[in-house]
Amino acid sequence: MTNLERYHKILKTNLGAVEADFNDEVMRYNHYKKWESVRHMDIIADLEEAFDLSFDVLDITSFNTYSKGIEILEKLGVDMQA
Amino acid sequence: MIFAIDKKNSAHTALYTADQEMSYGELTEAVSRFETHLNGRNLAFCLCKNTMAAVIGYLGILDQGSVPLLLDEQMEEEQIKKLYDIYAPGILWLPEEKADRWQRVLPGRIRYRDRGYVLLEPDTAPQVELHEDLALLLTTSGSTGSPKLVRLSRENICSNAASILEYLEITEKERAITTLPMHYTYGLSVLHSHLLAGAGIILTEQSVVQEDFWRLLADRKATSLSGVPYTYQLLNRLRLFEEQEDPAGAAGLYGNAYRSLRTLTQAGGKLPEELQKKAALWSKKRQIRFFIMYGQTEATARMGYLPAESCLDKTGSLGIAIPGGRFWLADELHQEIHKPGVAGELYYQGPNVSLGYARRREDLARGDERGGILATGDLAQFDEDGYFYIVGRKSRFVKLYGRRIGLDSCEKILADAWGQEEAAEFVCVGSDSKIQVACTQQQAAEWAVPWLTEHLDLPRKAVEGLWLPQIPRNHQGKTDYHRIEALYLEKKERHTR
Repeated sequence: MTNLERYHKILKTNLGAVEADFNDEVMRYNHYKKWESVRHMDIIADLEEAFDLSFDVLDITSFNTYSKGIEILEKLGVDMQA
Repeated sequence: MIFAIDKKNSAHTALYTADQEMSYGELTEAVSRFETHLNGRNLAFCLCKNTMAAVIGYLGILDQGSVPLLLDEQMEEEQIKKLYDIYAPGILWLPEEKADRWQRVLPGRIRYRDRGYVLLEPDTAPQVELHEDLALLLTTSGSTGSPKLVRLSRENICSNAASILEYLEITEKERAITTLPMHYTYGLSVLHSHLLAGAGIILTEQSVVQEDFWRLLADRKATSLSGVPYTYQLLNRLRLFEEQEDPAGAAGLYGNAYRSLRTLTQAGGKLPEELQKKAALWSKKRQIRFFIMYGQTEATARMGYLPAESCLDKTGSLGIAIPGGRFWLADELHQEIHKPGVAGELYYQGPNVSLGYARRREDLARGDERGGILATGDLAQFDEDGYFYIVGRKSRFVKLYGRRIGLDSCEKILADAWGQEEAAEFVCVGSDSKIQVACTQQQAAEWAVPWLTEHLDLPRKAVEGLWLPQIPRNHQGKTDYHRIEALYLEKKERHTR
């Protein structure tokens, strides 16, 4: 599984997302399905575990769209192409 | 007008959003205009978001004498339809973007539009008999779509708002930022009490885990913030309550956004004592008042509060009754308990005790069925100073091997006995044959089973452990016991397969 697929899998598990949803028009905090604070923290916990890293406060609070999540993971050293 | 909105300083700002302000004068006008589009006394479904439009419509419906039922705007259409079929509202106040879909389900006409909301009047609205005292309906369980509603009178609403205003000493200088939805009794009580005080309310749909929330809090200089236990756990996760100010934590966001805060309130369940202490110490150092409060929708919102100055001396206590209310405890024979340290069911008496429940349309014609007294279903005791402590929930008991065992007290003794540096949260569920202990730490989950069986002198097979990566919580951040029970069943099935 690639890192991008790992990211997708976590979004699918927590939000019931499907492939077609993976864009910023659809997948935004507070607008997309059940993406509110409880799910948000679950997603972050799963990402931290899957990629063995730690989100700081700014990472947590600025993660608000699908691609913002990728940007943060890349900033934390995850190669999303791999 | 309701909450004497028209008697406030008309130039003072009542509602703030990220990009708009509305004064009390403008709010009075908007509510009056809304009311001119209402005919007769109706049941009204109000689909709520923390926006100006939702507030204006809600106040208009309430003030005109119609009866709003507040629902989460994000509630599933199917569930709203189910409630519609049961209660048959004469009007609906809902976001414009949903109007088309609703008009297909409920043919009707749009009577009024304001700020992105529409007033929809279905063509086939049967007459529903509403008791003269009935003023407001709230759901008991947030967004689950249960048809069970709490019936509230205007006196319930106004007296509770006045009590809250009194003990929190809300002045017109306050500006509360919304962290809770307005269809939820606690969120609604913040709106009511601040309107009554002529204070400001900063409306937002954002949560504390979002940057925009902190930017808004800083820009609008919020003076108070309210939260359920889960909100406080999030604030803690955002490192707001650190002893040493952490520039990378929430306290550092947007130039110390929190600095305008003067009051924190917490309700909606018990905060873990460690976290209460931490938040109380942090608040004290910054001269922020921190209030622990207790209530239920069945009592409009609030019944008890812990005065801010007692937050550290009386950690874990729900405090004392709010102004105008009274608490007492009753034993199993319904005798009042007068001795400190003896547990019994907590009763409350006050003008904010609801009229009763509604489960079907005909119930809306019923009057007061409680006479101002509420059996809370919580088990509590009081100390020598008269401060009350919840020790459990009346129904959270199992009968194991002929003994009555409180699941809440199991959780507490486990947490106390664990005694490791890293605190563990234990959640107990059970039936009359087994207690199940869930925990987020594998080591603690394994330790809990033999310890509890020994401590309670129970057979080993009466207690099962389950390690969970996370304790499931519902929308309001309360422990989701049903989900944990379901997880046990799943685990069991996997084993037998």
